[in-house]
Amino acid sequence: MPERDFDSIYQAYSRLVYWAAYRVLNDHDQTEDVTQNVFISVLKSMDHIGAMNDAQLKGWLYRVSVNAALDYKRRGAKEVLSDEPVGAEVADPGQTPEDDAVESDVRKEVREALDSIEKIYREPLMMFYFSDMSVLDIAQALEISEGTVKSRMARGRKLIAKRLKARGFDYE
Amino acid sequence: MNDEMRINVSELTPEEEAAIDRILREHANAENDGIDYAAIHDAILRKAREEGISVFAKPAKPAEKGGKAGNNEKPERKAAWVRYALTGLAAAAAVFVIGFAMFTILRDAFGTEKRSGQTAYTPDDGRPADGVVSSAEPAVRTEGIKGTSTPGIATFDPAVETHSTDTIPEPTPIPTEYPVRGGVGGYVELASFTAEPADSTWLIPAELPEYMPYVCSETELFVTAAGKSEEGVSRYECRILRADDSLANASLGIGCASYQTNEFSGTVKYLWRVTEESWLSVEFAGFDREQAEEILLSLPLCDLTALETEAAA
Repeated sequence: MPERDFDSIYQAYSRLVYWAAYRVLNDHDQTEDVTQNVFISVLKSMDHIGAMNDAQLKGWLYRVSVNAALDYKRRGAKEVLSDEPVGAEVADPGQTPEDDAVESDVRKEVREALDSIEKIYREPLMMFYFSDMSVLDIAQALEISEGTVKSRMARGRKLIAKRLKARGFDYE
Repeated sequence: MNDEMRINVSELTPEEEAAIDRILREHANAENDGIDYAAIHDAILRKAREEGISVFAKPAKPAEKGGKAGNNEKPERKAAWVRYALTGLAAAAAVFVIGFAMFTILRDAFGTEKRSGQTAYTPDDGRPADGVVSSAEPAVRTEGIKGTSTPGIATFDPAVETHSTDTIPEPTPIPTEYPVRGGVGGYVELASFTAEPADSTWLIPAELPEYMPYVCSETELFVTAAGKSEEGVSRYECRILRADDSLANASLGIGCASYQTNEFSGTVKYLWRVTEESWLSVEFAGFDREQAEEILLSLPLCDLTALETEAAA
């Protein structure tokens, strides 16, 4: 098993943990809290982690992050809708009017396009692009086949393309 | 599912595919650039020190040492002393075994008492037939506690035929901390829905297809499966929260469930077959099987028999 210290684990997997939690909470402040809690658990579990290979560690971290975020939400954290009906406009609770003005149109369009597609397609895309997980990692974390991961990602990309086109956004 | 999603989306051209891929990557990188991971890292270390948790950080450079010892130095120094002590014990034991072995060899070779029958000592292989170790090296068998990487307990058994080793394995230090099971908090995840039990307005998950109608009440939300999904498998997950102990219904028979455990992710999953193509899935994170079943039995659950009958109708 590879030798790991906390800093190397954090450097390698902080994005994975952060975005796994964000997908549940959709709020950056809460996500930071949960990220801290997850890595505190990592510190407490260093002996246990030492027996894992990279793939196992990734799966463990992903699952722990999602569960920690759900637990955080259940314990009375500020309600933030994470699974909006398809097609609904999703307002980012972390955004202020000033942020909206400053943020580029591109990011806003892409973010809204991502939020608009079904979770079943959005989740593997976010795990791939935001959390730097491979198709195999995603398959293991979601307990589905690699083929299913690829097909869901492909469908998600198509839906995003359609959404962007419908909004008049020229992405090419 | 709205009308837009039902429309078949045409295949993207390779150029469009590449463009979307690029856009998503750039978007993800931009989003990540806006997050101060370094500050989160510092906050974690600060919190760990406040809670007295040992941080397995890289050793400090010599120039950084000095002054008041930090929380990390004392346990590491103690672990080093333990290591030295155990190494010394191992060396002393090795000397004893070597001496004993040589004594036995010399006794057999030059002793006055002879064994009955032929001499058991064979000059060619140097190994007596009675199994006494003739190797100059000690017989060392190290056992570790199953399921953990440390510690190791060294036992010496001269009667065991051994493989010669060049070095005595260094004993692993006795851990000062053990992983905490369910350290994340341990909770019951039953589905992908999110709602507090006191909230009568359940979030309706948009990804449920039409053939999975749902029924919700103040205490439970359950979904029936009555068909096949695009992938050929119908699956539903039921979010059941206990709002009040007095509302507890008959518990679900654990005996009719299959379960899966995943030691590495720390999860236990139970599955009940509802129809030929659907099942109820309940997953526990941060609990072992015994704890999970205890929680499961305490939850109010819907009557699967009625559900199965309804699905079959």
